[in-house]
Amino acid sequence: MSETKKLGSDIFCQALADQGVEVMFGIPGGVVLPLYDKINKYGHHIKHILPRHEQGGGFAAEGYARVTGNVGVCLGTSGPGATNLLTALANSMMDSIPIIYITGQVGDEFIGSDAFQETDVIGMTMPVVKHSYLLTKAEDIHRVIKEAFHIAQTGRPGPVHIDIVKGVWFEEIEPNADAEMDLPGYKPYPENCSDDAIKKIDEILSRPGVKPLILAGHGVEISGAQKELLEFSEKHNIPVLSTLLGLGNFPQGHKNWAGMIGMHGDAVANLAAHNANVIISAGCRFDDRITGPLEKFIDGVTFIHMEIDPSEINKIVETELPLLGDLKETLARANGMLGDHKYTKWHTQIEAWKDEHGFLDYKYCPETKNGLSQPRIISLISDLTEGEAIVAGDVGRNQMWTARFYRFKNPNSHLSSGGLGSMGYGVSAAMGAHFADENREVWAISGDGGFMMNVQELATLAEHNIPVHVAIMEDSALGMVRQWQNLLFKGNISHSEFENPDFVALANSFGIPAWRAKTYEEAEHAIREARKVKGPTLITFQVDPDEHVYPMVPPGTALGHQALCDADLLQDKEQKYDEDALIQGHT
Amino acid sequence: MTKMHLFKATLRVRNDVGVLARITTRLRKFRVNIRSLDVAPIDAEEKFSDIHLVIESEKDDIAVAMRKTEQLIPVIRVTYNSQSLEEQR
Repeated sequence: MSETKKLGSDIFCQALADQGVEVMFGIPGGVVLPLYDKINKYGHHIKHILPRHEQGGGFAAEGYARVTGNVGVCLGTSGPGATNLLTALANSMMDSIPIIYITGQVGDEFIGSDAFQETDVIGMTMPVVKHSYLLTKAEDIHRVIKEAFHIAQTGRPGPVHIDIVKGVWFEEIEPNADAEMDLPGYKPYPENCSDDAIKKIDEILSRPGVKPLILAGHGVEISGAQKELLEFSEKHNIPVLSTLLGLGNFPQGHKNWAGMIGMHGDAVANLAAHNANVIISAGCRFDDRITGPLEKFIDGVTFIHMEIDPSEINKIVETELPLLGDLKETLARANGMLGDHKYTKWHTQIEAWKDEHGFLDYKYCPETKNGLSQPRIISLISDLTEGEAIVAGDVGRNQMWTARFYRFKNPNSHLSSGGLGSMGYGVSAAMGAHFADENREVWAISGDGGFMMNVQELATLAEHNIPVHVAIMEDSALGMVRQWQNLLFKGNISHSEFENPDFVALANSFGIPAWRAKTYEEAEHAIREARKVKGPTLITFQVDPDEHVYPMVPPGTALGHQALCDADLLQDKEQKYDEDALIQGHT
Repeated sequence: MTKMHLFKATLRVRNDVGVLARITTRLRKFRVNIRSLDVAPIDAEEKFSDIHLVIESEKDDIAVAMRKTEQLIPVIRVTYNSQSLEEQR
């Protein structure tokens, strides 16, 4: 080999290092072995972490990306290594997370021959990626890596998949680090909305009888628009609701904060959304979990939609005033242009709802009889960590309670599988979050069902002594499924209960210290002890399987008709709910 | 039988391997069916092609499907008739 020529495997590692990759989660296998033969040479640039399953690695890369805002990187080999990544890929797409997913592919000469561990992974991932590449020549490495990182993190972020045939690693070529991107069709940033369009906000907000709300979505976090959002809300005196992924981007103690909207959002937020007549969406895509039945959500409401992705405009709700552009910039321009407003009666109403329904306090939840209360445990973790930790929820009841009872003080701190709702997300995402900021405390709050779906990552936590505190809400049930079966399927508990292993013994077998808490005193003691440990810990809280998440906006029901307790649904004295709609309505 | 609405659309695309699969995958997501398809390169280097489609949808509005298709990286631009062909007649 000439002195200036390099192997494709070297060029690939260098291209990743050139992009500033700090950490990569990957599992080697047959067709990527040549890459792994070189990767340690680049260890001073790229820390490699071996998860125990590709899905765990994908979620870890997401955790890293969510906290830093940088691109996460995850790698799997061909065939099952690649298919194992699919759930994480779909999750990144749904939640607009910038990740580069790298998979190995069989040699060029074997493609199409059904070779060992050959899968048409480009075809399989096509619906769930922002873009994908089949890399067949080493000369394309630098261009493809540059394009992939550019696509992943510009405009509306998302996952990019690179499938690399085995022969690329062995090619010897002159590296062409100056290769230019060639993306003639890619327009990540739409033309910014005009000043006249922004001024129209004032006109809408000045209409008589206006009851406005700001609906803050994940776009606030992605755009880094927290300061501008706060100024916009204060200047116009407009209450702020957040979506699940928008949490942490508006101060929760602020007078204008009105909570999290949605199927299991705050009662106050749902009532406010139900009664508002102007909704200003800031980086939100109107997921069905926040709108409920659309015809009821949009009835009598004027929508102003601030959005970077033109294809989201009028996708779900018809918008009177679309405002395209980067959210931070749009809000900053609006702040400099618009007049002040007051909505005194509207605020008085919202304050009355806060008084009536309670707000951010587990004491408003009913007492539990058969175990600990999850809201109270999560509030305890929140109090003891002073709302400063990074917290990854899993999916289900624990996810909703984590969102509502952990008082996030900082942006980029609440990790949750929002759009896809992937159980098994929490521990893996928390693991990745640690590498985003090794000085911050990280918790994973998970149900026992979700925890068991990626339980293998305890081994990764232990091996690298990654200080993630795992809190398992143990009720021997798929809690949210069981809740729905209890409330909507006449108590027919069908295949949603199970037996658990001894989680303390399990954690100990990995060398992880663990506690079991059956009382609140034991819970507080365990949390305090766990926080003293400079490494992973696990606490299993024995929680009540019969504690239901409320509010609950049953399927087919308007936000304002949320159920606040079991009796609301089971007795339905006000006859608010249509029994068929509850079961047949969109889940 | 469900009434289907017919539309014409033209997509200018980069002539990458699999570009048609990306487009049909995206259209399928929106339950848009392709009635007819014609594709040919438009430049001497055959770097770009135009794809002319007649498509059918249960919905009378395909704007979202078209905008989401235009977002595909190899798609340069999409033009389409916002009114169905029946309405135009």
